[in-house]
Amino acid sequence: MKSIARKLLTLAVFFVLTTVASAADRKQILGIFYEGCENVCEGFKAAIKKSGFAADVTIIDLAQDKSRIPTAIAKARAMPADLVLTYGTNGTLGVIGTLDDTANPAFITEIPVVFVKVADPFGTHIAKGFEGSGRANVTGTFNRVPEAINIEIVRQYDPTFDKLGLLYNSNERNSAITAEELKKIAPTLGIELVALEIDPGNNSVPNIARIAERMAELREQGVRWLYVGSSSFLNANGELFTKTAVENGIAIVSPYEPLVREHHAMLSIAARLENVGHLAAEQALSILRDGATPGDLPIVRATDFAYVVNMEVAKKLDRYPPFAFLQVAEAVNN
Amino acid sequence: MLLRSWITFSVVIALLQAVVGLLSVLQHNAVLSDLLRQRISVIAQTTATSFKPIIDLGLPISMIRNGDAIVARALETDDEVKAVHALNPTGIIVYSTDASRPKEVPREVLQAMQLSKEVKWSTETGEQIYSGFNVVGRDGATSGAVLVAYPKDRLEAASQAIMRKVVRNALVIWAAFSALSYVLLSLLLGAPQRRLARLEGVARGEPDAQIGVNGNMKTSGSGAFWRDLFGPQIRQLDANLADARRQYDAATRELGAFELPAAKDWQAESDDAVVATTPTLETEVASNPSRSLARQIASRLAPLAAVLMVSSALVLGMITLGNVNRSIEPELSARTNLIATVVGEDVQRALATGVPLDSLVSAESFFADMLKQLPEIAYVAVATGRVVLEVGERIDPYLAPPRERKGVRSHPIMHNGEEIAYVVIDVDPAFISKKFLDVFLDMGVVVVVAVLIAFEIMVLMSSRSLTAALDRLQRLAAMQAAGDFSKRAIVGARTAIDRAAQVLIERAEGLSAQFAAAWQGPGGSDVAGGSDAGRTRLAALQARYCLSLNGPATLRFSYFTDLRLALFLFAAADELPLSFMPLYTRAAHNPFPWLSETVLISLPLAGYLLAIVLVSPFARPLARWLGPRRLLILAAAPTIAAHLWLYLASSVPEIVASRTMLGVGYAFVTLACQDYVIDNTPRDERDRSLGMFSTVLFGGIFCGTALGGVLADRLGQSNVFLLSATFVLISALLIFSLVADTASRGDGTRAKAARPPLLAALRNWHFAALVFGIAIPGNVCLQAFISYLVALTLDSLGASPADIGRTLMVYFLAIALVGPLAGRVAERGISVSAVALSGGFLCGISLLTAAIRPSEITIFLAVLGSGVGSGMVRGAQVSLSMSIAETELKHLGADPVLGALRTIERFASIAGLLLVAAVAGLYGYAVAIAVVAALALGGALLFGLSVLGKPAAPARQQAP
Repeated sequence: MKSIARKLLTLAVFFVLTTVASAADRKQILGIFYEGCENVCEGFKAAIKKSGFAADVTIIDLAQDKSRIPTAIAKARAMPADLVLTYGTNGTLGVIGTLDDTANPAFITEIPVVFVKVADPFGTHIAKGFEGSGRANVTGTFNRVPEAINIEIVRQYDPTFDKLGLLYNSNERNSAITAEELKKIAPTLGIELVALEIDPGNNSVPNIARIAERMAELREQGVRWLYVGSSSFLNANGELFTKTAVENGIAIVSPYEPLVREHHAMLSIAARLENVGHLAAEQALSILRDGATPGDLPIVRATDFAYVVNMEVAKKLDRYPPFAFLQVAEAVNN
Repeated sequence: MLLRSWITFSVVIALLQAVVGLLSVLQHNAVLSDLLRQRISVIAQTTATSFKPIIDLGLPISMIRNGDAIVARALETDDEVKAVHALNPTGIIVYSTDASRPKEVPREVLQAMQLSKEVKWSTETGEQIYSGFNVVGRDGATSGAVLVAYPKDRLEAASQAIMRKVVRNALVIWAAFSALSYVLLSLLLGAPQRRLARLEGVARGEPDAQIGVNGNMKTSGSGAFWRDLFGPQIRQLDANLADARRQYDAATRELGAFELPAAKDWQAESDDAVVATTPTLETEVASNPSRSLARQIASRLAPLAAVLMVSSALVLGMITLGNVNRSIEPELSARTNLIATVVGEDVQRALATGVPLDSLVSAESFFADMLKQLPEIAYVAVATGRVVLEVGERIDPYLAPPRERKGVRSHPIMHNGEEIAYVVIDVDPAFISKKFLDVFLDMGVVVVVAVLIAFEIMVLMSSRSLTAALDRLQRLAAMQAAGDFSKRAIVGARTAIDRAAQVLIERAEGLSAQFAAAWQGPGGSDVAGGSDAGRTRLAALQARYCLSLNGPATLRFSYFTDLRLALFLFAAADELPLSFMPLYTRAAHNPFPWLSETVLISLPLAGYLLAIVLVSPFARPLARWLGPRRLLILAAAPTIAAHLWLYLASSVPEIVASRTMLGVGYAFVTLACQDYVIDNTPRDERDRSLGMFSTVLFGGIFCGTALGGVLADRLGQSNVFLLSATFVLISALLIFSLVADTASRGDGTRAKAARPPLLAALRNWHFAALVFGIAIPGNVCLQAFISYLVALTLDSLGASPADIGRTLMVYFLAIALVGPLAGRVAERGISVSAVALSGGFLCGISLLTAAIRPSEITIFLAVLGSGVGSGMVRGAQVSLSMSIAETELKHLGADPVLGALRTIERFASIAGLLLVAAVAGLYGYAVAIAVVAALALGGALLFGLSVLGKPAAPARQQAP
């Protein structure tokens, strides 16, 4: 009996040791997402799985609450994570800070980091340039077209277009930066910019009731086209935001394709978010599997941009796309 | 004679039919390939248009998500399309319908894309036809291109079909014309043939029955015209032969007085006669007098040959034209159908997104942009019974050709499985007419080129097989009739004419042997007769009958006709690449990126011209030292090497170096030929022969220019150099086997090139005005406009190499036609200065028109105008310079003055070419043309001022 027990014990110890060894071989990736595991997140996980590389992806959802970031950083260090994936401007800034924070222990400086869906990583000083982040442990992806292109799209669509509306949230760094940039470039493009803050004076998450009020204001100021800019708040409240715009006769141009596909924004030119996730996975695999130093990798750009037009909205607003658009655009009817 | 002439005619007509047939097929293939490319380009264009909205935003073509789906649509419009690719500007394939996902396009396709100045471009490889259309962003930069690959099966099938028809027709036409030529030749040569057949007997001393003993012949009754066609000449020949016989009999008799046993058996007519002496070689200038029988027969045969050749070529040309038109017609309507299909599909795609037909936004401007690249479409509409959208102007249904109106409603627009509208498309009948006119003109060029080539072959063949033999006989008979037995010749024994000549040669040899035997006497030590009186008598006989102890000298006849075909082929070989040379250079690797492209591509031409300038002064001394024949053969070697080098060349320096070598070869060959003509023509016929030399040279240039374009189009540009090398090789072989080896005239010392008195000549105001006002502008016009700007401008206007070649050859045709006319005008007392001045102004004004409004038609008119102008200037310029040289610059001498004129104008043409190339690079082709125009007009003005108040220069015989 004893011998049986001893044999079983030996077997159990062997099993545990094997499992531990196997777990030690598998890389640990921690994804810190701002709005849950959405398309980018799914694309990333799918690409890692498809690669066959032994890695576990653990997701933390910040639920648009920046105060949860320190906990996420602590978890990354405790795991310890082999690589951290950060999502969005707010989340990324919270996890790795700016180029000035490379020696700040409050941020992750020792674990490789790949950032995704940061509207302007260079304007926010998260990274130095497309050639490299300028930080040894950081690389990332870039998935937006320049703001001027977003204005140009509207001009192509509607030759009479000369006034652009913008709602921004100054609590979101990316939203504020986009607003500043548009204020600079709009006059150079011959466009009048009507930029309204969603909920001025409110230092936390804006009150969603303000969306309808601002939309009515924009309509009164003669705005027919509205640009989403970069805002997790508006993105998260996409349905209400886009629906209100249509009700006010305003067409929305969005850098976020889901706002057109799933809600009531009329037009977007954007990369497919799943593809952005794939690109981030490629970066992660270069680091974990191929041994690349993150700082040596370029910031990769998304390549599969597409025009997407919501034909239902175009019909409601009686603003059908020009014939040439229809030859290349992906039409959505919802 | 009749049989030989008929064989010659039949062979030449067969060659002519072969050339016309071959060129027609090539031309057909070029036209069909062009139409196919244009049709495929519709697919490339519509696909490229789909990418444009995104490219206009400034995004690279590679960043478009549904790029593969967009290129895949193209396959639906034509199921024969092999593959469609979207390329980035460096030629990397970013989207493709090809399952093997090729990464790059073939090298020649990339080159076609990079070299094209147009959005639309195309090329052809061994297996496929490619049509590309660039995607150009709003900023004008090319952001990529759509490339459609199409199999060549259709082209090859059509090519084979037309080839079969051409071969069948050509055989029938050849048989008919061969028979016709036999009938006509029988009429023309039958009687002379019968009489010439008796020449052998006459030569042997038998009386000619028809002439009778008193030399009269029956010249009346039926058929008298034909019977007595060459009567006087034949009677003259008969008389000479009879006199020769008499002279021979007298000489034999007189030499018989010294007869020795050893020489007793000497019979001139004996077949086994052996000449004991070593004959000396001597090459004689063949005078070929214009009244001679050979010339008379040639001058009768030439028009007959011309009529038969032109008409047989025209018959084949016209029949083939019909076949070509029938072959390309379906392709023209296929393109129209494709455009209608594409319009319908675009509309269907828009409707599928949910836009109602009546709410299509900016569809008119979309289709208007599309039609800008489709010149044959006058009107496009989408109709449902009423017109929903329309672009362009409707063609009156009564004007539109019926075939274009067929199936107007054959392109329905479907939505949700129902036909809700249809496409209406109107083809511009003027465009279609122009296409057919182009084909007609191309065929015309083919016929002209083939006839010119055939004519040169005919001249050579009839000279070799007929007239040369008669000429030999005539010359020997005339000499012997005058008692001159000093010459023999190398002749065959196949014809009666040759056998008659052989009789004369044998007599000359026999008399020489008889004389030698008599001179040596018994034992070989003394004169037969053994006295001084005998020696004196023998010496008198020797002087009287021109006898020699060494036997008669061998005459080798040399004619310009021996050289004609060689010169013609050489000139053609030199000009074959004219229409594509600038484009060929542009495509080559350029190791000097700092050099402007326009200057760069002028360098090969500049090198070529520089070589001509530097080498020309040495040509005449070298020709005198080596003899023209050796110089011609020696010059052919570097020319062949240079053409082969051009074939292999991949970089600009290689092209410049090889073109410079060609310049050396060209200078030596043309000048050596000119010297040969001068040396081998009696003085009184020199101008006529030099005129013929110019005609042959320009005929070759004309054919080369005309052929180069179509050959480059079908064979590929580099292969044309192989053809050029072959032409030069044939030319060298012809010279080697046909041209007499005239002895070098070197006096043992190497000849030196004289330096022309440039400054001394230019101090004369009239000479300077002629040089700067007429000669330099004329040369700059040729080198900078014709040889350089025309090809580049037409290429930038979208013309094919064939179009360019066709336009360029008009220049040489105009010179060839107007040159002699201008000479005749001058002979009628009109001032030569006025002719030169008018030519200069005409040149300038026609160029100015092209500079103000460059288009295919104005460039064509400018080329024609400058050709006519240059034709007027060309002869007048030499005439004027000779007048000045003989009067005001008499102390310098005529040759040096002419040398100075040539040297200055050639140097100036190089400088002018480089200047014009630089201007073209900085300000565009139109400004560069304007500069040449200004030079021509300014020069004419300067020259006009110089002749004011000066007595009109007397008209001179024109020199080349």
